[in-house]
Order: sequence, then structure tokens, then C-alpha cells
Amino acid sequence: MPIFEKIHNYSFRQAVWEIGNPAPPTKIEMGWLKKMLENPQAKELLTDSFYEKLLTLVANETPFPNSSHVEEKGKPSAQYSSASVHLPVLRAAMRNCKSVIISYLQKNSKECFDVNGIPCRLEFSMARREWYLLWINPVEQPNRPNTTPLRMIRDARIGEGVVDWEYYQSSLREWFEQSQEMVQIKALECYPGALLSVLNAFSCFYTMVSSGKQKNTLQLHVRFLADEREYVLQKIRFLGSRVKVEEPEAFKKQMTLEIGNALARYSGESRTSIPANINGGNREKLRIVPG
Amino acid sequence: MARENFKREQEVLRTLFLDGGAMTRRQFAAQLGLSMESLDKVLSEIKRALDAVGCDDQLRCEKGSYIFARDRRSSSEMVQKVLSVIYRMKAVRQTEIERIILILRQLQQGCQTLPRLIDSFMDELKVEVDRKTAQTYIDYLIEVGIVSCNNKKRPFRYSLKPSLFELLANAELEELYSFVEFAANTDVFSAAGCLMLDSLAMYMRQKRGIEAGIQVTYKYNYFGRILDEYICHELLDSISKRKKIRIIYGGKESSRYRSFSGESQGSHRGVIIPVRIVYDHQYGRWYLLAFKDRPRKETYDVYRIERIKQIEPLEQTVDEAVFKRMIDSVRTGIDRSWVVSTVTQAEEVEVVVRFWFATGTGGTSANYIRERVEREGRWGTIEPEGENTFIYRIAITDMSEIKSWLLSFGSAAEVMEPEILRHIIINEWEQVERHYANL
Repeated sequence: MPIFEKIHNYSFRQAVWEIGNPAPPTKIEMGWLKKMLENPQAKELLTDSFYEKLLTLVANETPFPNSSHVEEKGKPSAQYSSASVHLPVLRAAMRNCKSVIISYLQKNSKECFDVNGIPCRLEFSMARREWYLLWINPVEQPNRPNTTPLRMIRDARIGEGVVDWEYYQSSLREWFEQSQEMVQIKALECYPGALLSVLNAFSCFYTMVSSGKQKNTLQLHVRFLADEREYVLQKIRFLGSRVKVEEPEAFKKQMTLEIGNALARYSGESRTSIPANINGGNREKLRIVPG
Repeated sequence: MARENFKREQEVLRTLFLDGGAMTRRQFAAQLGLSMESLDKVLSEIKRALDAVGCDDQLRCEKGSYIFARDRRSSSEMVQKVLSVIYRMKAVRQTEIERIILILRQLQQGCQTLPRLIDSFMDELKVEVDRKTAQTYIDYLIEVGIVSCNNKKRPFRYSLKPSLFELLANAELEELYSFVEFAANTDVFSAAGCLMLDSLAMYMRQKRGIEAGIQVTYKYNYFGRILDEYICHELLDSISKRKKIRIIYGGKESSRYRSFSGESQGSHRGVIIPVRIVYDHQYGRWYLLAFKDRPRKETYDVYRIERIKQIEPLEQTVDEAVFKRMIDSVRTGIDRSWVVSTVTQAEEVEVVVRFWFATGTGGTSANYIRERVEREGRWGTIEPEGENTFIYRIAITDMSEIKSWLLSFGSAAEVMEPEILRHIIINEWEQVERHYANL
């Protein structure tokens, strides 16, 4: 099945929009839906009865694409998929501008029961394959959101009364603006294609790019929130000598410290103390990437 | 190649997405090997498409540079919508749009025969359309799966297929939207999902008065993969038919982006047998694994999909038994490679890494390093060691592919074996150290 179709052309879409009666989904869209329903996660994300109904409705479609010749490498394993059980309640609360009453576990393992909160946004981290809820506690912290992984939520139910959705959304936006940090990175073309790999690596952040002062360099201004700092550092370390942090000073110092610590690992005696029984011991198997 | 080619739109969108604003219009054109006029033409077509899908403010020209106006408030939905606009760029004539829209309108009122539809062209568009032409429109709508023919004998009656959306209650539409949104963001094949998400949102708004979607962000997503997806579909089609293809491949060039205007410096062409497609989540990249048509050695080559400039499926097919051997060879080759190592015949090497972790920081008992290694460590094994360390082992065919992942842990990872990888890592850290030498 070709993915480029005239019926999907933008002028076509506009014309369909104007007649106010959308056409049925195409074979490609229906085939894709069938394919996605074959994914084990579909059962977790959809209610049982709706999942069965959808399966019946796509029964005559051909799955698209035929991915028997496709292999995925390095997909982070999702360990917390059962957390998606709270998604319907949280989505319903957000859609209807309602508060939620949640019981959850804090980072320090402290349990919180029946806390009234304003759900502001759901986030799914592709890096951790994990859902998070951004919510505001109007009593204790009305001006900044809490970020709670859904796996830490024990119970969630819709609260009474309608909340001022616009007010809390604008508070959230304001908080995002105020809490943003920025790191300036120089990307170096240390081998052909290195700049592209750096740009690609930071494409998952809000990044502004400008030409570097030296030939074959680029300046990247990467913006992120405080709780994303470690992930940004991880990306910088991942790229090794292809990048250099230029600003802020604190970030540079952190990098210098980290490099010093990393090199110190190799200069000490730690290696000789590694147990020699390489094949013995108490190994715990990780998942095996499907062939 | 006679077929419509979307490489220009693909590379212009990629450039805008990755470093929009970094280059002046002149540099942008030069980088892509286009004249300024050609660049402007492609951009104005993209701009028109963005306007049509409601992303009119996402592309603008400021101080001589084109800017993809992406910021933190741009939802993942918006970024995806902008990039998937490439799948809305297949050329179609305005007259064809008008006529097909008319057919859809007629069919929305009920079953119609071809003569009746031909009459409606005259009644509504004041144009005479012959039977053969009208039939091609109907055949096209049947082919894309939105119209069906209800009887086997003449006169044929045509009707719109029942829309999946019409068969669902409002709450079910909302549930479907959430599911499609999740799948279109998290599955490696996103293009058809983006199209469905858009038509679903349109249906919900127009027919049910529901605004689809709530505040959901898909963080750290490599959206750029959507631009290369269409080439994968074309390749998958050839693979499933065991067909050879003619390819023009960019290879490694010194420029940031490769010129797509034919065979530029560093590019090469040839006939290959595509066998497997690999998507690497670590870099967010697609790869093609293929054999040369007349290989000197029985080994496959790895092609980066974004560097493929042109492909042309050929009619020649490969013998089934030979093709199966190729598939087996590729499977064995990449089974124990961290990504898609080209070191296909290499023996496996056991990489041993000591990971250092600290628990109790920030009042938590979580071991983030171990959690990350468990999540990303593929088929490796973990052995508890000291109070603050554990040992990770993995057998891989090409240790150079794991280097970046190990570096990303910083001082939390110490390579123990093999010696050569230990030196590679030390050498890399020393190079990075030189960047900060004046501090």
C-alpha cells in the first residue's frame, strides 16, 4: 500500500473540511489501526469491551505496514505499563475540568492519601517509557506543579466541583517559563556527519541553533527544566568529544568534575579488585531483544 | 525516476526541524544543493500545506532565515503535525479535487450509480465528464478503501463505506483518540497514525462538537523519524516481494546535509537486494540492511535511510532460497550487535562494566543507575557486587557501538573488559577533558 495518496493531499483535506462531512478513514489508516491493536500495549490502554469492538471493526483490514522485516534495536523496556490503569480517570478529569483525588507514594517512600489535586498535563517519557502526571496541589503549592510517575499513584478518582482550567494552565505555562534553564553547547564536526548526529540527539529538546564562530561548528541553545538536567547531561556525555559545553559556567564545572571523576576510575586500583569469577556469581538476566 | 519524489520536501523539513534559523536563506539553499528559487518554491508549497492543516504560524521567515517556530509550548502533536505534512504533499489537480469531493458529497446522501454521478458533474460543476474518467475517480476511491461497490451486476451502485468513527459513541471516540495519539507517538511507524489522528479530530469537531485531545506531551521523542518513514514503506514493499532495487546513496559527505539533487560528490549508485530494516531507538535512526547484487563477499551492507537519495524498485526478483539465506545471515549478524554492526563475521566480545551508584540521595532509596541499566541494557546481565557497585556483562559483536551509551553514564561506568574498549573510553574522556582545559 503506498503511503502517499492524493486523498491525503492538503488541498483535499481542506476541501473535505469545508464540506463539513469527513470521509471515512482510508485503507492505510484502518490497516495501521489494526496493526497497532496487535501490539500488546493496546489491551492495557483500551477498555476490554472497546478493544474487542475495535478488533471486530477492523477484522477485514490488512495490517499496515507489514513489519515482519523490521527490527527495533535499543527500545527501552517498559516496566511500568500497569500504571496506565489510571489514565482513563486522569484523562476524564482533565477533559471535564475536574480535580482528582489521588493517593500516591512520594520519592522518599512517604505515602500520601486522598490528596485533592488539579491535573494539568500528562507526559509520556520516551526515554523511560513511563507516564507522568503534572498536577497542582492548590492548598500546599498552588504555583508550581508536582510531577508524579503514574506507577507511584495507588488510587485516583475524579473529585467534586469544576476547576478553573484556564487559570491553572496559565499558571503552569508561567512556571515553565520561569523555571527554564539553558545550556549553550558547541557542536564540532569531528568526523563527517557528526553535526547532524548532535542536532538529531538534541532534537527532542527545545533547541535553537545558530552558526558557530569557527568553521564547521554550530551553537546549540538547549532549554530544559531543572528536573531534566541529568538527562541533558546524559546526552552531552553520550556525544563525547563531538560537543563542548560553553555556558553556563556551573554546567561547565559540573562537566569538568564529571570528566575528572570518570578518568579517576581508570587511574586507581579499582580494576584489580574486580572478582575474577567472571562466569560465576549471581547473575540476573535482563530482557532479550526479540530476534 | 518517473515517480514523484519527495526528497526535496523531506530534506527541507528536516533542515527546518533540526536547525531552523541557523542558516540564512542563501546558506540553506547552498547546503541542500538547490537554487534559491527552487528552495523558495519548495518552502511556499510547505507553507501552503502547513496553513491547510492549521499550523500556519509554525514556519516564518525572519532576518533572512527560515524559522520553524518550535518552542516548549508547541505540543508534541504540533511538531508531529508539521513533520507529517510531507504525507499531504502528493500532487493532485484542482479539478480532480473538485470532482472527487462532489462524488463524496453525492455518496454521503446515499447509493449512486455511475450515470447519476456523471449527471451531477454537469448539474453542479457544469462540466461534462466522460464515463471512463468518472470510473477512474470511483476506482480510486475504492482502491483507497473509502467507497464500495454494492452489487456484482450492472448497474453498479456505489456507496461510502461505513466510517469507523460513525460507529462509535462520543466516549469511545475520545478513547480511540487517546490510543491513536499514543500509538502514533510511540510506535516507529507514525505516518498513517498522524493522518488518522487528524481525520479523527476533524470528525469529532465537525460531527460531534468535541474538541479532541487533552494536554499530553510525548517527551524526548525523535520526531525526525517520520520524515524517513516513507522510504521504509517503499523498501518493505520490495523486501516482501524479494525485489532488487536501484539505489543512489549519499554516503559520508563532509556537509551537514547531503545534496539530494542527483549524484553529488561522495554519492554512489548500484543495484542492491534489500533484506531488513532496523530502527535504532538510541539514535532515533532507520537503517537498511542489504546485499549487493553481485557481491564479492557474502556479507551485507548497512545503509542509513536518511542518506538514501533515490530508490527505484526493479522487476528482477531474488530466488526464495537465496533470499532466505540472506535473511538468516542478517539475523545472525545483528542478533548480537548493539545496533547494526557491519562487523558481521566478528566473534562476540564480552564487555564487562562496573557501575557505581549512590542510593539515599535526595531522600530516596531508588537506584537510578541500576534502573537505567535494566531498562536500556538489552540482553546483558547484572551481578550485584559491592555496597555501591554492580557488574554488567554483555556479549556483543562490535564493541565500538556501545561506546556512546557507556560514556553517557559518566563516572558511574567503568569499563573493565576488554582492554581495548577500556582504552577507547579513556581516550575519549581525555579528548573531552581537553575541551575544558582552560577552566
